[in-house]
Amino acid sequence: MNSASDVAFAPDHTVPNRPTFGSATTGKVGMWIFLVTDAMTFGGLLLAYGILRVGNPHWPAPTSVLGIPFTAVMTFVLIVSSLTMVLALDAAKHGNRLGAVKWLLLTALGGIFFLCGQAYEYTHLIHHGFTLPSGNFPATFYVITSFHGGHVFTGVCYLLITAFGVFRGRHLENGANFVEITGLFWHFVDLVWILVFTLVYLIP
Amino acid sequence: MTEHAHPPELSAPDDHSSHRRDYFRIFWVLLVLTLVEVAVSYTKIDKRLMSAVMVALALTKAAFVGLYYMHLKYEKRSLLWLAALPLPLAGFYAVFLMLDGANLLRATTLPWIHH
Repeated sequence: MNSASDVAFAPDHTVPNRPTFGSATTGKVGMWIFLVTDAMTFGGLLLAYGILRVGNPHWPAPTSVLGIPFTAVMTFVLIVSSLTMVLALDAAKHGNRLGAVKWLLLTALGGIFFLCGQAYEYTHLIHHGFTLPSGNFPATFYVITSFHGGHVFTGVCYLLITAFGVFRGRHLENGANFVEITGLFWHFVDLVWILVFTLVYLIP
Repeated sequence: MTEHAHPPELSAPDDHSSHRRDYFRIFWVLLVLTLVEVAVSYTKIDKRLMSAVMVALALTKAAFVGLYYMHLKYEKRSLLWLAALPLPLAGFYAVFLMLDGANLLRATTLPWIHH
């Protein structure tokens, strides 16, 4: 180690060994800091939902409005897409370029399936009068799930860009660090959905 | 990959077969816990108990995703703390703002609060 500034401004493509975050690259630490702030945004939205819900003794039972089996399938797809994401990273780490591309594309496909499911769900709900301005339950429901849906959409774009890069022979260096950072974002989207599914759909 | 890319603390869990096995194992855990959650939602147990069980299951699932799929378990502890430290704060807000906010809301007559 030379001076402190050499360590702090180490380029992203080298694997450091820092006293602070060990072998985590600057990109990875950056993604984690972003995810923590993003989690706070989700936390704020979920908190607003929680306050409105416990403050209203006549809050409808979510199961009376929302389709649990349908959403359970969407949840299943998102969990599968997390599995395909780690398999993509595994393939990329072992230099299996086309394998990584295959798993990344399957992960993106899972995200696209989820978005289609959400579009179908919204259409169905709106058709039955469950619209954004029709109450605090629909208002919080749409804000939280669409904010999450926006993350899924971002994640799909991110995955496709990563898959394209890997296909062109990039992103495999340093233990496929770029693919791992893409994965962090995607798993975060899955993680948030796990909480949203429980708190918004299942809590009686 | 090269020795350079894998510091000593990463070399053991980074073994090819064991990592893949972990990935699949976590997938089955997540799947089973989700099925349990959905099944619990169809039972007729006390609502508070049901809510507590579901939140516990959801947090367990989230922890598995964070620790294994996002590799927090294999990172330096400081990165784990970076992700974990805001959680008690969120819990604190959840408990106290919900208790306080709920009481205020129940007493309010503001037109945009639909009871």
